[in-house]
Amino acid sequence: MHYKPVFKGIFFLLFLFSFLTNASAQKTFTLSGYVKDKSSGEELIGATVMAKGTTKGATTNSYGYFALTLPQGEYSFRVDYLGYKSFETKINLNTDTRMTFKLDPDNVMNEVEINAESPREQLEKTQMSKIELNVQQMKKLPVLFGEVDVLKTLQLLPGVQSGSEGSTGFFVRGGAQDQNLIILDEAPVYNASHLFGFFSVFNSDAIKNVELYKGDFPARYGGRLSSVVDITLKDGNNEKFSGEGGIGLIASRLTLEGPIVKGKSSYIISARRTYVDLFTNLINEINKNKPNYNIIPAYYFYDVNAKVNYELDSSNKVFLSGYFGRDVFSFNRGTFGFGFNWGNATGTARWNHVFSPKLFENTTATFTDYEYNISSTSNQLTFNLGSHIQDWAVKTDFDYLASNTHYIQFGASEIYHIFDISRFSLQTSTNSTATTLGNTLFGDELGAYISDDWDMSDRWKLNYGLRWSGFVSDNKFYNAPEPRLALRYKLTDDVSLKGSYTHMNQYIHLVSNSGSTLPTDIWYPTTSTVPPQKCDQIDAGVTTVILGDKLTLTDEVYYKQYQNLIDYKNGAQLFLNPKIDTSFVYGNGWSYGNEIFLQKQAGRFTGWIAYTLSWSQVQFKGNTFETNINNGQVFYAKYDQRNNISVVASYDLTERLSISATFVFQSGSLTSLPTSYSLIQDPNPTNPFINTSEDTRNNVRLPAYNRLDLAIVWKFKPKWGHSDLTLSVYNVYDRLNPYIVYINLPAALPGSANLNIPQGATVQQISLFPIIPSLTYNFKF
Amino acid sequence: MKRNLKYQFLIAIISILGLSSCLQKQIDIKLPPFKSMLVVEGYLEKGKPFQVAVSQTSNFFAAPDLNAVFLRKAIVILSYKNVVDTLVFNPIPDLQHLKWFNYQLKNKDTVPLTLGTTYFLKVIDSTGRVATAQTTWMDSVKIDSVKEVITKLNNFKSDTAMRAYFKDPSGSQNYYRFVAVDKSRGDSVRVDNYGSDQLLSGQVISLSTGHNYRHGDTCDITLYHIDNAYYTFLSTSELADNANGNPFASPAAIISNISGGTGIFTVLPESNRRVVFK
Repeated sequence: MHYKPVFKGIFFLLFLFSFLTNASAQKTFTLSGYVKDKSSGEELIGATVMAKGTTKGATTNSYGYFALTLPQGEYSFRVDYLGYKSFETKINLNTDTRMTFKLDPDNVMNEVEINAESPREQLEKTQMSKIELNVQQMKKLPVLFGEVDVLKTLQLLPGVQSGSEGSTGFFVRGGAQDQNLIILDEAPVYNASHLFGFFSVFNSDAIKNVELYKGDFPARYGGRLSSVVDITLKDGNNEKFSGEGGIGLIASRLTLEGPIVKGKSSYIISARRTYVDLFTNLINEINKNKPNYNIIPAYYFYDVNAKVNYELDSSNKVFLSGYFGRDVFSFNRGTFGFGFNWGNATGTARWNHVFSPKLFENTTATFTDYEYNISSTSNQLTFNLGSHIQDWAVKTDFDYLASNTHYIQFGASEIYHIFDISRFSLQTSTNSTATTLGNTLFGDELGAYISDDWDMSDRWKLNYGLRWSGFVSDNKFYNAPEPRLALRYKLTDDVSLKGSYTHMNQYIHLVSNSGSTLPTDIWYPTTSTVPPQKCDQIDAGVTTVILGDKLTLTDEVYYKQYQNLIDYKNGAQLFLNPKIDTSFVYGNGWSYGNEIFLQKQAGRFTGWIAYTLSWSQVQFKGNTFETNINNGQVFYAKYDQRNNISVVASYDLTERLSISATFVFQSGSLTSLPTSYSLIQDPNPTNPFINTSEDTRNNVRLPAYNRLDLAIVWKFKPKWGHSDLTLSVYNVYDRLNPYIVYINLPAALPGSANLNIPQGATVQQISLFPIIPSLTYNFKF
Repeated sequence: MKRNLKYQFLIAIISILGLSSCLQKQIDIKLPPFKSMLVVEGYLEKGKPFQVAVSQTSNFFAAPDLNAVFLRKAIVILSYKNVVDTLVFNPIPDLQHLKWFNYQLKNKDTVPLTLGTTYFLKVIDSTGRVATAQTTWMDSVKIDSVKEVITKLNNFKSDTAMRAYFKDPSGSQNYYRFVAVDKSRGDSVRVDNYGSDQLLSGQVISLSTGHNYRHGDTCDITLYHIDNAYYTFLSTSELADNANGNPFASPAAIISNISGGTGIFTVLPESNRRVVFK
């Protein structure tokens, strides 16, 4: 047990930090408060408040709050946030002062802001391997089927690799999909996709902010090895009633928001639904009496986001938010019926409290549930199959401005997990046979952390911290210290060198070998027989602004080493297997690479180039054929990809017309193909069959992937609101990229002198998306 | 046979998106080199001559050549209790059923099969490769009854099937293979399923022959009581078949009870029924 030394470490840091508070003898005062959007009252995350003529400044935290301690005196403060007009004001700081700065949206600016952090901000921070998305501006980019998708935009960033064609699945720096922590208003989302991964569950109209961490994880995050995608919903307009929406090729959406008590309280509700099923149902109804008509299955998905907030007083604010979404697939023919539905539900209750100008607290209680259910009925039998994972969590986080050079964050969390695995029931119509199957497991995940962002000098800045994580399940207690370290050295005013180290533990696992998370993939906890996954990550990089802040260039290298990675053993039986851990094998992994990211964030022409060179390898050694994957040798992981280039460009031709393009090139991904066949005669009377065993996993690299997408946005003249028409063309030059590659073996004819020996075997490629144009009408009032 | 859910999802996705046509093409791809393995296959069945197929794993793209796939100069030895028999080469393939069990006991002899007896098979090919396997005879599980089932699909259609009922022996994990052959339509195989009693241990289990039988049709039903090794071989073979490039499929190495090669050596205790649809 290592928890005692870890607690000692945390207490030592607290002791040290208590001195930091009094380190400065000079009389100082604190300017604190919120930065908000003037038109909607939305709190702005990551806005900067700078004291002009000094190097001192503060950034608003995830709740829009900032605090800045300075020596007594009169200062001119400048408040900045990309997409908003800068705001300047003079304040005589001779007492602790609370202010709310309201910024005007800059309607003239029309850039695509992939990184909401300003170039200077990126230079100043120790934080590396982090990218913020501005969702509103993201809507200008070309998209598949007209559906703007946060997760697909993430795939255009360096170090983020897409799963399969058109899917929202993503892999970060060689990590598996379950190593991504996706949180929506602080509640984890376990399956972030609709329609088997082709659309994400996030309705972009309801989202305020998206942050992606690929490394250098702040101590407040834990539980996953490879990335954190932190999504914040809008709070709702507390100044006036407003709305926005869109009518697209396959789905429509509507968002309404407004004040409950003007300036103090607001709501937002946002909904989206596909409507392909309305047409298929109509076709089925028209043809229902035709003898040979095959009924088309019905499918749709929908999601709803809702949020309310109330400002009790200047120091207290409460929030309630929730998400509910479902995919529904059904097929009914005569007495036979088949249904398959799956989806997430999340709920968040949050309380922000300002204890003092220097001490900000956020306490959150969250609930999340993901489940799938498959049911089938006929006049012979009925069966149901389902699994679900449910979390109940509380956490509290503190931001403490110990001095003008120390910014301390600390907090604790507990998550209670419930895993209901492969719940199965079967009953015959005569009740002659009835059976049930399933397994329920529980886990308690604990965390506590403290970190200090220390402004050591004008050039040196250090962020150091410690997280302690623990997990109780199956009468087994695991715990581990997770140190965090990040250092920035400012080489010149325009160049910063950064480095970081993190250690992460992951206590819940989803083993999937597909390019996208599937509805039926099952989360499984760490138990007495399933150890936690672990990862050490080292990053080093340079950030620079060039051409007078017009361009930002970052170059980062990383190295990650994993322990206890999980995969399926050879011959794993996954169907109706409640003890799926008996199909696991455990191994080690390594990934490393270089990411180059060049951005132009301002002006009529904006965009970025992202290049990633990477390797990802794994090794699973066992004592049997089943557990000794690829003979125990090191092999490339499914998501290993050598080169990945994304180019995104947007140009405002006029105030009403803009065009954008994205180009993607990726080295071929890996697949597993059989390399030989064996003839199996089989007992009479069936014909012999050909066995095509995949003797090694990930043994074939597919052809390279590339694609160009274009979009044109035409804004109509404002009447009762704003509206635009967006034409997107996906895969402009109709490139048939590989989605499935398989070996086709023609069947032998009876009487063949060569029996069933393959003749004329070929390698076939199936592509998913040819050129696909789509038109979306968007409106806002 | 048990279907892979993930594979069905893939089909559903493509169908829903309506994008299944015109997106397939032949490509050239370099497969990694492979090392050829012995393939051994033999079934012990009551009243049937014992025969073994000995071949080797082969390249997909090589010209079809019986002599390259099937091995002629192998030594094939069956042993049990105090008996050691060497099989002889059978030079005549069964072109009608596309099968070639190329080694058999002299005079097409059968093997005495008794409960609990373990049978050993050893194959040595001309290059010195050795494959060994063993299997143990089990009791068959009797089909207790059959019952005709008519399902009305709509005003125009109804399906006719036969259900076979049998009692699963309790106290142990059992595996079955169920085959229904439509004799009236050229011995066409209507149903060929395998599975375990995982959910129905000790209960009465019913299995269907498949639908759309007509008045007067004759159907032969066979229930094989199979062992874990054969069940694993069948299920992993099916997974491998599904996995052929399928991005949603499970890991797909075939698990065989042939040490030093691949294939299967197993017992097939069986129970039979012939039914005529009235």
